[in-house]
This record gives sequence, C-alpha cells and structure tokens, in this order.
Amino acid sequence: MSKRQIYSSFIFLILLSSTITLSLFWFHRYESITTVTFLSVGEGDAILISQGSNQILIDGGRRSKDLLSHLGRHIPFWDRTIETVIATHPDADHIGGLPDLARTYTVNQFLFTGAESETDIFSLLRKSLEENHVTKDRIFEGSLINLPRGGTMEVLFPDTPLPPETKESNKGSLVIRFTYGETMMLFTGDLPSEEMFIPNTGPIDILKVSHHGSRYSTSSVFLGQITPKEAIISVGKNSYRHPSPDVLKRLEEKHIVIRRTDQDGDIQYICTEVSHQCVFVK
Amino acid sequence: MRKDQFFFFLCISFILGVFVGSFFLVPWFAILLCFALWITLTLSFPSRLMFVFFIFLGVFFFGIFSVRASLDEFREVHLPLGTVSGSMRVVSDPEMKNFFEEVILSTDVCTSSFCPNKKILWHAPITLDISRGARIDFSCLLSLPKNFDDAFDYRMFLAKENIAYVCEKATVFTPLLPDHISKLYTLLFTPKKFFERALERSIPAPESGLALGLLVGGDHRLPEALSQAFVTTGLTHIVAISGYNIALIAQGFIIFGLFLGLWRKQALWFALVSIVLFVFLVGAPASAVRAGIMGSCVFLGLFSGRLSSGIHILTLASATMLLFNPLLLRFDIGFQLSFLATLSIILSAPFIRVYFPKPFFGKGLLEIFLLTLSVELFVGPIIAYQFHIFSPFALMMNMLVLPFVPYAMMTSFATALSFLILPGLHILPAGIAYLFLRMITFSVEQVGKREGASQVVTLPLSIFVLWYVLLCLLFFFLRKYIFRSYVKKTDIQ
Repeated sequence: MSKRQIYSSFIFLILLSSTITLSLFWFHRYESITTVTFLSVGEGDAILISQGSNQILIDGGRRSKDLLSHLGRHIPFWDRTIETVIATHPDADHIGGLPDLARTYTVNQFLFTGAESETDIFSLLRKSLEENHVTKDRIFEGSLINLPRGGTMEVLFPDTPLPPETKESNKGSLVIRFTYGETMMLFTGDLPSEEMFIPNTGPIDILKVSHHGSRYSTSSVFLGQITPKEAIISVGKNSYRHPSPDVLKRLEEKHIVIRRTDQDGDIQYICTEVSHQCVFVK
Repeated sequence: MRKDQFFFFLCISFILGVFVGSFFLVPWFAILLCFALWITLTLSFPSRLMFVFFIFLGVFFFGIFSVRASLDEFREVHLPLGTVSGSMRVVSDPEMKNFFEEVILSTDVCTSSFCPNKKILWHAPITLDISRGARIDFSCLLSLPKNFDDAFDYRMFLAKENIAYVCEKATVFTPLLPDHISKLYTLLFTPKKFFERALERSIPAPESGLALGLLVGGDHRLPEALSQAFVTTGLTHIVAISGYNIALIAQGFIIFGLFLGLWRKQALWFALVSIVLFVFLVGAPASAVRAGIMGSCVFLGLFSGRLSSGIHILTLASATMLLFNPLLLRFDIGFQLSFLATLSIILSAPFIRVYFPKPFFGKGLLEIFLLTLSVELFVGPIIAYQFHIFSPFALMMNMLVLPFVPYAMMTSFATALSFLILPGLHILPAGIAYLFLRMITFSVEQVGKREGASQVVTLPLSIFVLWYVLLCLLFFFLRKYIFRSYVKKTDIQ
C-alpha cells in the first residue's frame, strides 16, 4: 500500500466517523424535540405535532397539494408514517387534504367526533380511509393522547361522541388542549361562542383562534377566561373577510401577540425536555 | 438545389405559411388573389426557377389556408350549442381541481340530435372513480369556454387540443362496463399509475411533484407558489415535458445500452425505441408525443454530427406536427419552447465543438454555459411574449439548476423502480434523489421570492419577429464564417 493510499484511507475514515457521529448526535436531538407547527395551508386548518418519528396531525387544510408540500418540509424524507390524524369536524377546509394524505403516507389511526357529512370530500375521505385500512375511532371529552417523550393531548369538547347525521358541524368541533411541561395550547377548530361550550377551561398560553378569526368566535369573555399570551390565526385568501377586524381588535386590547399563517407562513414552536416549555421559533 | 435542400425549403415554406396565417388576419380573397397572380406570372415567364418558387409559394399558401381553416372551425358561429347525450370516452387522465376533476371526453356513440365532433372538457364530481379509456353514459348541456383574462386566450388554448366545449354540470354520468378499448387503455397506462404512486409514496411533496414533472411532465402537482417560482426564475421548461427532458432520457439510455455491451449504432436504436416506450409510460399525452419527436431530433442531429441534418430533421418533424395540427404554432407554448430550445441546441452545439475541440479543465462548465446562453437567447423572448415576464435571473438559474436535472431524473427513476421491485430498498436512491430535488426547489424558492426576480414586459409582435430573424441571420453568417476558417485550417494542415 502506497503512502498516498494510506493517507486517503485515513482521511476517508475520519470523514466517515465524523459523519456517523454527527448523524447520531442529530438523530438523538431530533428524537427528543417536540415541535408544534401551524401549517400555512390557505383558508383552512392544519396543525402538525411532531416528536421524533411520531407525528400527530390535527386537520388537513382544504387542498392536498398545500398540505402535503408543507408536511414534506417538516417531516424527514424517510419517515412516511403519520401515527395519528385528527379531524376536528368534517368541513372541506379541515379535511380537504386528508384523502390524498392517506394515500401518500401510512396513517395508523384516524380520530374524529363521529359527525359525518354528505359532501363529496367527506365521501372521498371515507373511501380513502377504507382503501388504505386506516383505523377509525371516535373521541370526546376526557379522551387522552400521551406522546412517548412527554406531552399530553386532552379532548375538552364535545361531551359525547356525535351521531353521524350531526348537521351543524362547527358547533361539534373538537377542542383539544395540548400540555407540554409548563406550556398549554388550546386548539379550538371552528367552534363558535366558545365560552358557552367550554366554560370551565382555565388559563392557557397559546390559543389557536377558532374559525380562522370569525367574528362569531373568540369573544372578550372567552379571552378573559383563558388569558392567552399568544394567538395563532390559521387563515388564507377568503371571501368571508377572515380574520374579522373585531376579533383582531379584541386580541389587541388584551395585548395578545397575534401570529397569522397568511402573513408569517408556517408558525412553529419548539418544546424541549431541558426548558420544559414550548417557545416560538419562526 | 439538392433534393434534401428542396425538401427542407418546402417544409420551411409550410411553417412560414402557418406562421403568417396564425398571427396575421389574411383575408381569403387576398390569398386567392396572390395565388392567381403567381400562377399567371409562372405561366407567362416559364422557367425552372419560377416553377420551383411556384411550388414553394403554393405550399406557403397551403400553410396559411390550413391554419385559417382550423381557426374557422373554432369560431363561435361554427360551434352550435345544445344538449349532448350518449356514450362518451374519457381521453385524458382526470386532473384534480379545487371542487371538481377536469376530464376530457370524446363522443363514442351519440344518441341526441346534437352531436359535436369536437372534444368536451367536463367538470366531473371528485367522487367519480374513472380513468382514461373509461366509457360513460353521459348527458350535458354544453357551453363554450370563456376567456377570463385578456392576456390569456383560454378558448384557443383548449382548441389546440381539439376541445371546443365545456360541460359544467352533467345531468347523467354513469360509468359503463369496460369494452376492449377500455381494457387496452388500462393495460397501456397501468405502468404510469404505478410509477406515479411509487414516487408519491417514496419522496415527500413537493419534491415528489417535481420528480414527476421532470419524468412524466406537468407542473400541476406542485403547489401554486412553487409553480409560480419556476416561471419567475425562467425554469418552467424543466417541469413541462420537453425535448430537453427527452434528450436527457435518450442520453441515459445510450449510456445504459453501451454499458450492456451494445455497439454505438445499436445503442442509438435502443435509445430511440426506449423513447417510444417512455412516451407510453407517461401516458402518451400529445405534449409528450411532441416532446418525444423533438427530443429524438436533437439526439439524431447531435449524433449525426452534421448541423444541416439536425436542422432538416427538426424542420421536417415540426412541419409534420403542424400539418396535423396547425394551431400548435401560435397557441401551444410547449411546442414553441420545445422547438426553439431544440433549434438552439442543434445550432450552437457544432460551434462549441469547432471552437473547443480539445479537452481542458472546466470545459464541461463552459459548454453548459454556452448551451444555456444559446437556449436563453431563443427561449427568453417567447416567454416574455407569452407570459409577459422577463426573468433577469433565468440564465444564472438555468446554469445553476440544469446540471442537477439529469441526476435528479436518474435517481427518481431508480427510486420508483426499486419501490416497485423491492419496497424498503428504495430508501437509498430516494435519499439521493431527494437531495438533488431539494437543491433545485431550494434555489428556485430562494431566488423566486427575491424582489425583482421577474419583470413585467410587453413585447410587440414586430420586435419579437425581428429578434428571431436577426438570430437566425447571425447563426447563418457565423456558420459560413466557421466553415471557411475550418476549411482554411484543414487546407494548411
């Protein structure tokens, strides 16, 4: 073996071991971090909670192209499984991207209130879930999802599973509280007049504003009840004039930091075991 | 005049005729008057030259006539409206839109009094499970497509695919049992479905959409913002299946053929047969067929090593395509881009070969730069004319991104194949493919969102035509000059 070959092999070994060390370090860090990302999918909701190779998706936006392209930016290319998909209610702007999601990713379980819809998109979702053998379960108040490395999701509303023929879907929206260490987040779907449906909810830190900032939600009474520090509005181009100026005013009056997906793009919080809380990163 | 030159000028005359007929409103009486005048002149002063010109002019007028006849077919007064009923055949892959699926239908058996002989664009419900080749019992009140934007002639965009009607809400749409044609379609297009599914399952979006755009063509799988960024950065041609992509694929097959132990000539035939199979694999849409023909022209032209044969093949291929569908010249941006990009490569490649015959460090990069510059000179004005956009970064982006494209295509193809053959093994090629694809999307996103990445321009037709005339003259004189200096050099040696 020539000197040159010895040197080359030596350099190659150093590079290889550094790459492996860095990858292991990155992988360890990646597995221990929890992220909560409000995806910018236009006028619709999609929230990804990711903890290493475990993912929970709450709602799927309106269009699959938007949903999948944003998910692809937050899930590593080799991870093609989303463990849990939750649909807060069966409206097109919350389930529109889910039929294609079930086709392109492996979805282990689909959780919903039980309410169904007669729309084309819901039929498509039902068919896609059946074809891809996704387990369906109904969740309601008291249902709990524990993440393997810390973090709990608790369903606050509705009180009972809903019958399939439920007509007014917004009023049956799932409300979920996510707790990680000292941080509490509240995901309200499209629920109107929240103070009436979830009167006992205590203070939280981050609120996902209901119904894309509709004036029928997020009242001063409700804001006074939950006293959030930050509010996320999942909104895009729409003809309903969402978010309502009234809602923005109410939030500003309470000195709540407002973040909007139509202006800021994907909004992400990182939760670490060390800090024991979730902090805004982008 | 040699036979091949005569044939070449015949094709050019036809293409010029189609061009004049497409862009200028030539009245019928003017066409007939000119033709009668020329017949009189030829008969009054008979000579061989006059006779040859008579033939060229006849073909030129035939070009004008054919495009005018096609345009007339799609004029509102010649398109009666009514309710069509009967059995229809799905002749396109359903394309998902926001609230419906876009499906193209052709009439199989018409049972109503109104029977259109043109295709129908149907807004089908998203829940309907149909694929290309399916037959459906159908009834719908047809309307004409509407132009929503002054800058974009949607009606003629559809007309170039022989679509004249739109059905927004069908009253009857029941899938019928498959017949032997449906079964044949299923057999032919099943590989494409598997291929698409394999890529979507193994590479995350939007990179899977880009991989499919590169291999199968079309930017409809990309999110709107990224698709727009490709236009802004002057890279939209890589996601529309074009002669460029096909030429790259052909090159890949040649290398593979040589690797298998084939001789050079055998490898060329292997590549050409593979192009035909590839066009079928992607579903043989008209755009892919045209790209296949253009790509083969580049390939044959470059392989023969003679500039003139490349141009002759391209001219013949384009004239043949226009003979079947003269509307392509004006209304199909894909045809225009493919033709001009192919022409630019055929024209500039021999110059590079003559000027830089010996290998040196960085020759590959210089070649890419010169070819990209040449393609930009030909393609830039047509993008400015059609999209009203000028991309100052287009040249830089093309130079930056194009070298990665063959690798992205190759590894994406390998990913899909390994996913189909041995799922699980695909992770390795998928990782490499993702790296290349992500490099492309990252650079397009970063440059696309820069202020001034694209400028709005309005290019008048006169400037547009003048540009191409000057460009062709430049290449013509350069060719003569190079030929002379090449002859001098070989004389001295």
